[in-house]
Amino acid sequence: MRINWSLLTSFAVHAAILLMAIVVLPSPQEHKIPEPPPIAVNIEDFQDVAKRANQTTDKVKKPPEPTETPKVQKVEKKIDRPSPKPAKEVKQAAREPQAQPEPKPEAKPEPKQAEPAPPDPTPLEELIKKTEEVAPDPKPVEEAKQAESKPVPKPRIKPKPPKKIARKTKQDEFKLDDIAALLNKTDEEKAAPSDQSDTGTPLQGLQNLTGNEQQVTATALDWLRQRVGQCWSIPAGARDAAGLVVTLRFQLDINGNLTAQPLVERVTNHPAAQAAARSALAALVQCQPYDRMPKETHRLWADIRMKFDPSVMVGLN
Amino acid sequence: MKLLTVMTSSLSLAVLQRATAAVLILIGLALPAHAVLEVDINQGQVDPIAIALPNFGGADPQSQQYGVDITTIIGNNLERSGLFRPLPQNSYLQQQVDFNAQPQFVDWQTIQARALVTGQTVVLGDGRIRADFRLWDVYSQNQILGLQFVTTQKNWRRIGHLISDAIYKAMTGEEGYFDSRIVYIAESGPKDKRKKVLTIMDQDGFNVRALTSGNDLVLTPRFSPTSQEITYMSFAGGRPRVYLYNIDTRQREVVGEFPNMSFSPRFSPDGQRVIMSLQEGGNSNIYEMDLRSRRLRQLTNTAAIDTAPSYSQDGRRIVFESDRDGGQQIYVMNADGSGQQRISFGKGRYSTPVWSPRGDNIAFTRFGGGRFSIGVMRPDGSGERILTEGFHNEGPTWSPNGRVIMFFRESRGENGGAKLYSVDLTGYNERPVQTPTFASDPAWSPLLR
Repeated sequence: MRINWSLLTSFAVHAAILLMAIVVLPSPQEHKIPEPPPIAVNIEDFQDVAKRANQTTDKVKKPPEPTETPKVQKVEKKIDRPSPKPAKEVKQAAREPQAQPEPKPEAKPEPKQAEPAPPDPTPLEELIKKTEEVAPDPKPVEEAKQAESKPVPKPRIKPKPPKKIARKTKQDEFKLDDIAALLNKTDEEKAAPSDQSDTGTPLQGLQNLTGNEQQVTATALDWLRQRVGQCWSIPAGARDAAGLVVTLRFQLDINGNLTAQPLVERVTNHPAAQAAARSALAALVQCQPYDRMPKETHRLWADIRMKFDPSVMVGLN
Repeated sequence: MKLLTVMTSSLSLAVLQRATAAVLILIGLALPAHAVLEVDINQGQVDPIAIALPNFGGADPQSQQYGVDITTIIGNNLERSGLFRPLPQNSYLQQQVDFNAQPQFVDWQTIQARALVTGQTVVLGDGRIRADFRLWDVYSQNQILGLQFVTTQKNWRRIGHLISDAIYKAMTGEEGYFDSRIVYIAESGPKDKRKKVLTIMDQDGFNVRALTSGNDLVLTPRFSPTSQEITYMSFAGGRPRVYLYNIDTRQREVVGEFPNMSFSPRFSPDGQRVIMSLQEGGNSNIYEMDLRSRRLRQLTNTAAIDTAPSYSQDGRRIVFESDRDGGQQIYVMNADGSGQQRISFGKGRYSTPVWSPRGDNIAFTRFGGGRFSIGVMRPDGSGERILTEGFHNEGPTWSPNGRVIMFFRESRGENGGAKLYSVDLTGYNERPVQTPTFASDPAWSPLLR
């Protein structure tokens, strides 16, 4: 019999895929989980953590403690090119300002107040004297090394494709079993109304969809925008960055607490993008709980995609 | 075929169910996600970033002292920038921070620090100093940066500046400017007989060193993009001429022999050319000299005083001042002298234009109503903003990142004199710059290499 190799290969490959699916994928029957739905359980867990955290004024849900401290990136750059060697007297004179109190950052000094006392001209004479004594620095320019080109460890905040955002609140509990269970549950729920009605007429739900329940009210949205805006400290490099947008995706529980660290969905390509993403993340974490969001419409604001756009701050740099 | 048959026959009902479940899951994943609420945030704060800077630790007293001193440099640099607010150390809930352990973030959140810097210093066996530091995001509880620097003891201050630059860049998204120097004219003596000495110092006012003897009048020093050379005007030999001075070798040379005055020099961004004014009778025009071939090229040709030229950061355009339309105004032209165009139209006279290293602004001095102001405008003349105003402000120079302007301010009276100041682009963060004597005409270097 002539062997049809291409057919055989095709069967073999299909069989392998099927076998892998059978071996790898778990059975919903074997892992039948009696629900309370896992989401509710998770929220309870997080609230407990949040409560504990609130007692210590810590509103952040801690990520799992790393088992070891992240290593310092060893970029041993020698900056051996000595600064011009100042004469001792000059160095001491120059050190004096260190002891002086620093002016306040916010205060725009009045010209009169800011005028320092006329400096003593004698250091200039010392400077000149020492000028002749200081030997020229023979070191070539090439020896000067700077840390500016150091490879900087990437921050752990990495843009992730939206696909990875699990329907569940905790990404680390993204399991096929749970999804299967959820699918089963959804089917049951869908079937429920017709089961309860002999005629098959759908039963009226508990909620009256007057319009307000279908969308988060403008007042609540304004409050949320204002609340986050108050906590968002725009990095200087992003203040004049037209086109720089950071998009975060996060979930809130019914009390307005983050259920997990927000995900950076998208950041436009810009030198200040990482700093902007960090500041947006910090703002969200710092300003929770968002407890003035209406609880009755929680399902509408449980999952939020937030775009941070600093372009309106142009001119404030 | 045989294998397939065996496999097929062994498939049980349960296995089939598994396969069905797998297909269902795949279909489920492909379904559209539930509704997501879209929210746009268009407003934020421009407050300084609260940062905690506990002293860097050290195993021995010498290392500890270096740790404290380096921490002080970092704190002062960041605070002076106006973009950071170092939190007072006595507010810290932890005074001793273990560099090799994960920080207790709760303690730093409690004092509302956005970022935390931890570090340690070590005096090595060969006498050099090593400093390690980590920058932490207190709210996301992540390490943002972790770097290590090694240098000789006499160079230790640069470690503080390099760490400051790294923190500044990570938190603001812009290059820092702390590891840089200022060259300026140190002045002493009575007002009518001032001694002027070309002087260099670190940007924070330390490591001051005189470069000239003070016998000849020197003016308008400007850094080369490589930081190793300065160009300036000196009256040495009785005639004002443009010089080049190498900071490392301390060698000085004159830029071309011209029959009349040459003044107001500035390097091109590639350091290969010097642009300057040459006097022609009662007028002056702008010329460019190629430093390798020493070839001179005339860029402007007017019966007026064209001076104070400054290249754009890409070297393709030049901004300068001219009184061709009456009073001094600011003009831009292409690097070959074509396309000359006035850009300043406000009240008063405009002078000393300097193109920002970022290319987005031109700093200038404006005189009007008996007051001198320092301001910025866009290269097309729009968006003019005055950053500081007073009796006499002059001579703006840009920080390497184009975020801060240094200038000098002259005070009135017999005992008055010039002092250096810096102001950031908001105009709200103005600071005096410490110098041992009166000081004028500052020029900011690029970042050191």
